[in-house]
Amino acid sequence: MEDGGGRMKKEPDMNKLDADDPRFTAKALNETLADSENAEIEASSQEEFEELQEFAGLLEKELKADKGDAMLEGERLEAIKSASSPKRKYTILQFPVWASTLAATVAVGFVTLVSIRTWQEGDSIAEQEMRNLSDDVMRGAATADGDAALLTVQEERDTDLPTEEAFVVTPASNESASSLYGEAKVGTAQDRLSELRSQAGKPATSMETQHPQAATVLNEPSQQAPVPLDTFQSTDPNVILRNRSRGAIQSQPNSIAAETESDMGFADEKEEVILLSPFQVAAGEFQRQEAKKGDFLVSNESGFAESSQGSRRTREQQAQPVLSLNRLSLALPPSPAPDYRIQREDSNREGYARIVENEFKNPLDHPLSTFSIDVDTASYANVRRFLNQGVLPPTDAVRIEEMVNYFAYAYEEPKDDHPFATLIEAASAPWKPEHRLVRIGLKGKEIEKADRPNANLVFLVDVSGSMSNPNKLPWVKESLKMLTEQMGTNDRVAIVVYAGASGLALPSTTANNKETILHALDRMRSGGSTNGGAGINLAYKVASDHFIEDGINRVILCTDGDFNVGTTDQGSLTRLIEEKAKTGIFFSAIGYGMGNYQDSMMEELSNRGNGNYAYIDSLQEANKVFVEDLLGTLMTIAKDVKIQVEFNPTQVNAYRLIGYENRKLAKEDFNDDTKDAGEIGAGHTVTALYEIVPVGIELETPSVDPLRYQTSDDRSRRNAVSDELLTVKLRYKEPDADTSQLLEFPFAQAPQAIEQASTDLRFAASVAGLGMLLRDSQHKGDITFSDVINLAESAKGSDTNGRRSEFVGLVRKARDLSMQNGANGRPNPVPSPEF
Amino acid sequence: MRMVSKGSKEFEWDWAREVIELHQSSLIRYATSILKDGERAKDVVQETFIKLCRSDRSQVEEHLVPWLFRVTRNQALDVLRKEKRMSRYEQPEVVESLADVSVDTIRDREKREAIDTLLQLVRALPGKQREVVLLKFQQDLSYKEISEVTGMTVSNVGYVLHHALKKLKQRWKMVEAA
Repeated sequence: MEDGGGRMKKEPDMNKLDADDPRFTAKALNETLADSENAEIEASSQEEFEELQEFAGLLEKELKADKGDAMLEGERLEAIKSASSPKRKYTILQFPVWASTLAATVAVGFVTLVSIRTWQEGDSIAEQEMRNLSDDVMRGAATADGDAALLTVQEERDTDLPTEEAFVVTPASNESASSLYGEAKVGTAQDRLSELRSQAGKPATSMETQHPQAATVLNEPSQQAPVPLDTFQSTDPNVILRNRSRGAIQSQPNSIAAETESDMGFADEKEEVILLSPFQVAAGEFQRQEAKKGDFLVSNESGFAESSQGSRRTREQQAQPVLSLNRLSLALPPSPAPDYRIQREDSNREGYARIVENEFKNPLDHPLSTFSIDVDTASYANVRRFLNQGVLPPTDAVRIEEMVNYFAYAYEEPKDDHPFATLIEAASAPWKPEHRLVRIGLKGKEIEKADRPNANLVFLVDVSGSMSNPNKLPWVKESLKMLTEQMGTNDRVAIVVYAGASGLALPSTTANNKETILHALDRMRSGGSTNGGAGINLAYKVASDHFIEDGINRVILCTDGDFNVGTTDQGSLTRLIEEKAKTGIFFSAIGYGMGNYQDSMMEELSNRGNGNYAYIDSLQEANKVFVEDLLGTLMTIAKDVKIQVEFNPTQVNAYRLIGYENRKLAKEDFNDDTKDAGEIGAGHTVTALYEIVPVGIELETPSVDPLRYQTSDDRSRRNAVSDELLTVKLRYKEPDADTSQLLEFPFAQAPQAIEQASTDLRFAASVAGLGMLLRDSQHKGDITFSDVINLAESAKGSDTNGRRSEFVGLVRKARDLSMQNGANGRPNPVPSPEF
Repeated sequence: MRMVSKGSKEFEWDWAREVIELHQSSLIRYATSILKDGERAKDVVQETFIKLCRSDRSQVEEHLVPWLFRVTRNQALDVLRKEKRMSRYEQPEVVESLADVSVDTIRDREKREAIDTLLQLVRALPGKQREVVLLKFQQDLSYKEISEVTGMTVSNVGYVLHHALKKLKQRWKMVEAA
């Protein structure tokens, strides 16, 4: 009965189509059918046929209307153009089919092996992921094209554990040029990749070498092939050519190709074309971090022990100059692709942006450290939620600065006209006593409740299906009721709900109608899907319709953050929020719930909207955010607050900013008033910690190679000044101003032990200590959970609200969890041998 | 093995430029439908054009449109895979699946609002069906081109499209009747 049977054997009605036949649809869509299939439409179906055609027309019209006119920005075009430089030559590898089959087999084997291992680790997501990969490979192998196939080796999923690394070998058809060149990305699997490659490539030994003259090697600086490298870099910043065989290559350009070929038995090995996509450039930091993480893990797996620290370092150094070149020519996307780590089952849809811990920097090379302040506290509440549930939080959920800033410190209020005071203090670092810990504390001016300007608040409440959990929408209601109770008669409140369709649940109402507001809050029900975009638009419209001059105008989003932004993509959403912030309507994000919590999205949105971001893990926390800290939450007293610290190289051998990884700014951004930064609310305290290696203490982290054009004699600069350790410079704008003001605070202090430091510094140090332990920071030194507990115990102070005691309790939980770690620990090793 | 060198830069860039102007919005739209993020969609499309520039024109030109879509698709799916968001691609965009939507529920006013346009009905289709429908009706690709883009066989494309259309038509009738 199949249509492939040929015309001869066909029964007469085989040439009739009825509506259940896919060919019926094809014909209705004017798809050219093969002769043998060119069937008649049965009379009975004729009507249906026309109907289908009509429907197809309608569908086409509707979908084309939605086509959009998004265009690539000029800088992206530039990036493409510079990548189209003709200087480079391309290689097409055409392998005999047996070679690609072999390669595919090896890859399948590897993938399977890895799947098994991953499965053994009990990670269901990774397992599924690997199955997908294996499927891909199978499919690829099945469709391998006759006598020739192009080979693309892609290192897949270099973002997580090394055990999940896999290589997809996709034989592609000749006409598809998607794999016209071998492409490999930088990542953790370098060494294994080359192993696999050399295995896969062995059969190809006999293949002739292509354009040896292009075999530019980017190796250790001393081994650079001088001329080709220069021209190469200057003409095409988008590509790095690198040698795979570590250290085997000396600086003899002509012999390189041959040597490599015989070394690796793989014709393509001599060059590796690495395309730095915007993702990759943005993720450059992250990749370097990965390499280090890899080291750690590699040492646990004897099979790959050959990958030495040294070789990775070399690669990092190689990558650096080229990466910076790329920054000039490649358009960086405004928000680098967030990376989602593997989560345990209970949180497997939660999204956290990867955090790459700040490294020590040498003040001679990097005299300035610049970042935006952050008053968010969400990370601490989220970490607390995890620990209270009896699990260690995923590494990337731990943002140390947000943990430190969760606590109020008794910094003195400003005595002058500035909206905040700056307090700097130093002591020995509890995790490494020979290092110094410098705290920069800011304290926002307190505002009396009575002095608070009138508020125009629009609650934007997510009532989608996912919000129906008892700790989501019901808590949202409770929180907003608390907040409503704090409102005065001249304040306005409106509620916009969004789900599949967004709607105004409560028109802007003056807060003396508390009953009306509370009633509207009670009526909110969850159900339907989420379209955050439409809801946000409506919320801003309501907010601007009732704009209060010189008042607090704010949209407060309450959601689990599982946005389906629909037609409005995240990019335009953040732009919208950014735009509106300029008109004086600020944005706050309040996160609720768990399971599909999208931390990275929430933080991004609130950062763009001059807003703050809190996470509600309990009604007590709701009380803190909406009652105790309400003024700070609502009332911004200074915006775009940036800190730039200049270190004195005569005193400081190296420094490291603890936390604030996603708040770092370029040094030029400090004086650039168009660059957005963090806000301080009334009464807020903001704390930033630096770890400093004083001069005279060797730094364990290796530094870069000596410079060629500057000698250490140039360090005569060192004689320049003083015993000052550093100078803190601050820039801020008044909430309605466009130009910033500058404050400067030079700082010098004789070393003191942490025990002699103020209570606040000791406590902040203990919080940072917990953060570093939870992140399994490589800088955590020899601090233990017990040390953190002792330090925090000693620094509780009056602790009127009990938060510091609660913290001590959390550290105990973390200690217990990491002791019994293994069963439900997170995927990366949490070492705690000291227990 | 052979080596392909490229022609003069100006010439190639002019051509690439034309291709970009002609196809960028379609590709961005398509990548957005997979990634749900316009900025990342642009990243992916930028990368596609870089690949185009690095490719041998004579090899690509004949199959230009499916080539562009295919490269874009592969990269977008790579991004999803890396971020473990594949499930979002595979599932209907409308969280509450309309797969078993009945006349009763569709009369429900709230639901009707959520799905009152054909566009939203399309969004409620499962990943593969949605993608094929978009490629066919939004991007005007033929069955064969769709098969080249997605790696499905031509008859599979026909099958998927047939069922997607059937489902859409049926639901659209319900929406209109309600």
